[in-house]
Amino acid sequence: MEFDTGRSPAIQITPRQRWSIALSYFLIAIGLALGLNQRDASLNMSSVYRNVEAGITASYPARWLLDESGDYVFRVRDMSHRGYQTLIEMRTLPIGPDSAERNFLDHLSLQRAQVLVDYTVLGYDSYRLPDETWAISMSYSFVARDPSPFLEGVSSIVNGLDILTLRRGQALVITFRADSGIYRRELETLRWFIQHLEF
Amino acid sequence: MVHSTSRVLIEGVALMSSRRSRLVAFLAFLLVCQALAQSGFDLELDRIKRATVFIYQTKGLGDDHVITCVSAGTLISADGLIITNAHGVVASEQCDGDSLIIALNVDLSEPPIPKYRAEIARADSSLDVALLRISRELDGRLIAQGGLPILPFVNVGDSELVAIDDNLIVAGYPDLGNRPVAIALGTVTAFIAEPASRSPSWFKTRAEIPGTMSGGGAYDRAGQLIGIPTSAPLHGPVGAANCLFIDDTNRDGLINNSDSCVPTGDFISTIRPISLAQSLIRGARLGLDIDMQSNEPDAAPSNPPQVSRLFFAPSLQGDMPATVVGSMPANTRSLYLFFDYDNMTAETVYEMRVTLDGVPNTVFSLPPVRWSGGRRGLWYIGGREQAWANGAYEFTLLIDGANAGSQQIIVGGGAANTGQFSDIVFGTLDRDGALVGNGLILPLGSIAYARFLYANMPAGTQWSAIWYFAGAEVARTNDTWRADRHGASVISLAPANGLLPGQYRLELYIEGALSATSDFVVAGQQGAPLPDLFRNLRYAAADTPGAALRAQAASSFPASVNALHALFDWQQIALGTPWTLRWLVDDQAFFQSTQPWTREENGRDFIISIVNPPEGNYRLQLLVNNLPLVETAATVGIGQLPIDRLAELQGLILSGRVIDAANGNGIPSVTIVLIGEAYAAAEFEWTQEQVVALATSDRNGDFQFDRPLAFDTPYSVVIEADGYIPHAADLFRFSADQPYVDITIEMVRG
Amino acid sequence: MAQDLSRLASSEAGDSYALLPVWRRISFQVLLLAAVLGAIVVASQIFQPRFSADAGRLLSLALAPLPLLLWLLVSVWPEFRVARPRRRLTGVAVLSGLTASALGLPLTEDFFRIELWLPLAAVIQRVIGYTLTAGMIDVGLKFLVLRYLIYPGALRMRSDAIAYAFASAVGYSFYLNLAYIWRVDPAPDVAAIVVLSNFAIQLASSLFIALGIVESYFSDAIPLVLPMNLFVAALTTGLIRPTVAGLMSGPLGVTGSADRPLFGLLMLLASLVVTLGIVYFLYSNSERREREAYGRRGVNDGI
Repeated sequence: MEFDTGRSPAIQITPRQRWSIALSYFLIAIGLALGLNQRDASLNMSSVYRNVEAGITASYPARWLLDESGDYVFRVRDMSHRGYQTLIEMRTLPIGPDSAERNFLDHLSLQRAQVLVDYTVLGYDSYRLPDETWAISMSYSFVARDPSPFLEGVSSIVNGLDILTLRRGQALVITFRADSGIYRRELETLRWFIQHLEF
Repeated sequence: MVHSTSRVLIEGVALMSSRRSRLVAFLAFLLVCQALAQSGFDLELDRIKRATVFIYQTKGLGDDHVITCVSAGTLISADGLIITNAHGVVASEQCDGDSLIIALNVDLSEPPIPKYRAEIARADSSLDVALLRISRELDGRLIAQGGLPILPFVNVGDSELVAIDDNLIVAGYPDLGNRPVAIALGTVTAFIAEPASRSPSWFKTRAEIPGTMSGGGAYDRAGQLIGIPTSAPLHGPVGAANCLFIDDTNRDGLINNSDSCVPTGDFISTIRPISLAQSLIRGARLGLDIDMQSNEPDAAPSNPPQVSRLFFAPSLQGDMPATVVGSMPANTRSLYLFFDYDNMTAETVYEMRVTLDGVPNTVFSLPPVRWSGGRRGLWYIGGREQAWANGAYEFTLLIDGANAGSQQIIVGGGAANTGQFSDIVFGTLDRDGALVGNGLILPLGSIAYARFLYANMPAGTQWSAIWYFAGAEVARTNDTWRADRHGASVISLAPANGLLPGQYRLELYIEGALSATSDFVVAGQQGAPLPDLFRNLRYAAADTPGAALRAQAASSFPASVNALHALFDWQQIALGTPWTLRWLVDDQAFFQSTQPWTREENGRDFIISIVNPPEGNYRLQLLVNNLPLVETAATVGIGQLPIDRLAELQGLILSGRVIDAANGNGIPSVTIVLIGEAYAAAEFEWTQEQVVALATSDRNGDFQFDRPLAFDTPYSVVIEADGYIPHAADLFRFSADQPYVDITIEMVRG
Repeated sequence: MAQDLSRLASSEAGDSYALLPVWRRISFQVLLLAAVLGAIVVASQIFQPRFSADAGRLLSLALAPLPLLLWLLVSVWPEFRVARPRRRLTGVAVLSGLTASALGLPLTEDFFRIELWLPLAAVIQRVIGYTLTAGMIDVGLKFLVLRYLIYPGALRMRSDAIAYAFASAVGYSFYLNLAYIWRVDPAPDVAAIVVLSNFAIQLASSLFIALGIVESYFSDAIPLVLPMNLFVAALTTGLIRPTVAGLMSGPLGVTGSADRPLFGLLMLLASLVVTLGIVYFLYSNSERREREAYGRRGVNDGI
């Protein structure tokens, strides 16, 4: 069987067709760029939290659940994430004349060891804040699980990071927790959060 | 729903013209009603099953834990209060564990899963009832106050409303936790009375209940907890058949007879009515802990338990036999077996086997249960308002599985026309020669009088009266009857040295046969109108009992008081005299304990303490022979008990499953947000203040809200999960006839 | 069946050029596919069959290549019996499938991570988002395949563009079907919806790509016509994909929620009919205009 190959490959496309193709590529490129932009806009959409009393203004990812009912200034959680819900929390602690930053972190550790499963401090480090000052950070891990005894909640290994700085006569602690599997990726959210934090 | 369905059906019936079609419609109506009732019943069963827990008592053995005892239990409050039998949880020779593990029904079709640790909040070994409170996670971490999720629980009903032939639902576990929670259905076949209470001490049922269900729950048709199925495993070789070897407790690499076994007990046919445990429940709910530091514990008896002087009585006078009989006429409705007991403890297991004409009678038999009385005294087992068939009955008492005594009685024929004494009461004579007093307790004095009734006593009959003090005969009268055939008579006891404090007994014989007997107590000084045993009952607030002795007595205390102490002095109370202490708050007893007096005859400053008493009106009563002799009230705070939010918790338990619509698999870790009635789903701004409750699905996609939802309240729901089309809905409203709702939410991939 | 196919082959104007006709075959395939998959969905809703896990998976997997097999049977196999076959059909389909595998799905899922943000977005944003991400990726890749395999070398007449675009839709959707069914393991009725959905979306976008190529190449339309058609092609993805998913997601009530496959099915059928109708109308219109134009000049080459 002999196949007809149709038009000769030698047939050239017209300049208008060439422009069509070029514009098509351009459109696709522009479309994808806009898509990328929309993705970033959606993923980085933020809400603003203001607490005049504590002197804190913070931007946090939109659609994260804002909670001010606990013993913290505020806490936001990514409720649509499936798995341990990434959390950012801010709390203030009073400081005494002899208080050192480490004292607060040790206090937090002792407190958490009572309630968190397999709470382990991984280490201390320093953290540079956007205003070029240095804070002390403590990384830790623990095992989280659903408290309901009637559900087969699977435990998650959670990595946490506390960033503590002393400001205006009080200790300010930023706590960040995320599932260990996405911890590094989610750290970007924390960095973004700290960059937009005013206190 | 029921009403609307009924209305539609009734209208449908009215339209039908023929009688036959009406009949068919009526039958259909009945069937629908029955189906609806059945669905409600199933909901109750579901709730009951969820609230039934499995309890392991365990013992540390090196790095390991072994199971020492098992029992079932029932959650009676959302904050983790569990009621069960005491014998499976309170440390004893048989159950010598030191930890209590609580297993819950995560899936009703599967065996329970250990989830928490508990501690004993209150226990009464004589009632064989204990209240446990969940206090720690399974790994031993302390659960912070309010940190426990809302747990499913059942309501405590009124067991005094239970009648013979009422239906019962019994929930528990059919074995050592290998199978899921089970339900047994039965009816109440008999009431068994003992001196422990005015109401029946036991319900008897024909339901086939395995011994491991002991401690579970017995429910009426409304699903209210009305009793605790109770059976005590026997000790030693006699109980070996019902003791299972499941752990290598001696670490020899083998599990065999040389290891410790887990007692399971025989089949259960007795149920402890919940009304007897009400004070325990109330005390545990309020978190009240009574410390009787001044009470010295009674030393364990060195001799084996025994019973003696078995006889029958047709009725009671207080806790004493009205008279003594050797036979009963036909149509007998009431019969009690009395006996003296000695060296009994709360761990003693007793049993009463009844045969009728040689055939075991399960209705009136009492299977092995823990001893409910004190160490020694007069006891009875029996019942009233129940038909006793004619025939020859033999009652056999077994103590710890061994035969301890038996007695026979014939029921049938006409009423006996022989002489009889009855209704002995004790007292003193007033100036007019009339017997006065309360009939059971006399103050110290020189003479004790006893009045009794007599009937069918022909003149010339030989009779005698024997007085005992502390078990020893102190006076005897033998005489010939000279009075009328029917009437009342008074006799007296006048010891040379006057009446000493202690326990007395009078026995009346006719022609050498015991015809009537009764006990009484002599204690305290003459008082008006009651003997003066306890004096100077007062309250003081102090951090320690020692400080309470120096503290100023008062009747009103601030809410912040750390401990409330009740102090009293006493006089002329002999060792072993049974006395009762009863605490009430807002007129409801939360603590009651009857025990033999263990201190010297006279003394001061007996201290009973309550640590961290909640606000309320407290009243302490001191009793002897169920007679309140003295009581005093005190107010803490404003006198208003705190509202127990959890005890009154009413609402809908909303649970369900989130599944992937594509494959039906559960989606784990999806958060379901329930928004309050003030906001619509579209108005949700992701702030906690708008949120009523949150639930997160587990690995199977199952979720359950951690708090009951209010009925007839419009909620909104928002569900968002990465990769799926979100759900948002308003007007989530549930009516009060839906205590449990289980929904399936299908999520479509976006 | 062979008779039917030969009847199809001889019934279009293409006979005069010894070419296999396109439109009727596409319509036949769409009709047959929609009937088979629709019947599975409807039957599942009515009879609620229960399959074992393995049987369900096998059945679902068997549905994935259904459009491909149908296309091989109805469109490719008859090509061997005509004098001037479209010999690059299989190449276009295979390369489209490979680009979907190598670039399409990874770009959509791993780079754009659409499942993290698009399903949760508002309706308009979802339409725009799917248009600018999944739509643009699919259209861009298929256009690249068509550009370098058939444009202009294999384009002899207008229907060639439609036939090759259809091949790219079949190849591209086959991989998407396979990947989804393999990974998600859906029930057979859901698999049927997914197969029909992927096929409908890819067919719609491919037909608009073809329309753009036709206008650009055969009518030498102004340069904006082709990109406009590509945009419309991407927009069809942006419209159909979230709409189908949204319609299938049932409302949440106190008794829970259930998916609505019939709603999805109806939407897909409607989108297939509408897309085919619009594209055929535009195609016919263009062809008529072209014929009239060339008729006046006495040239009819390539029509």
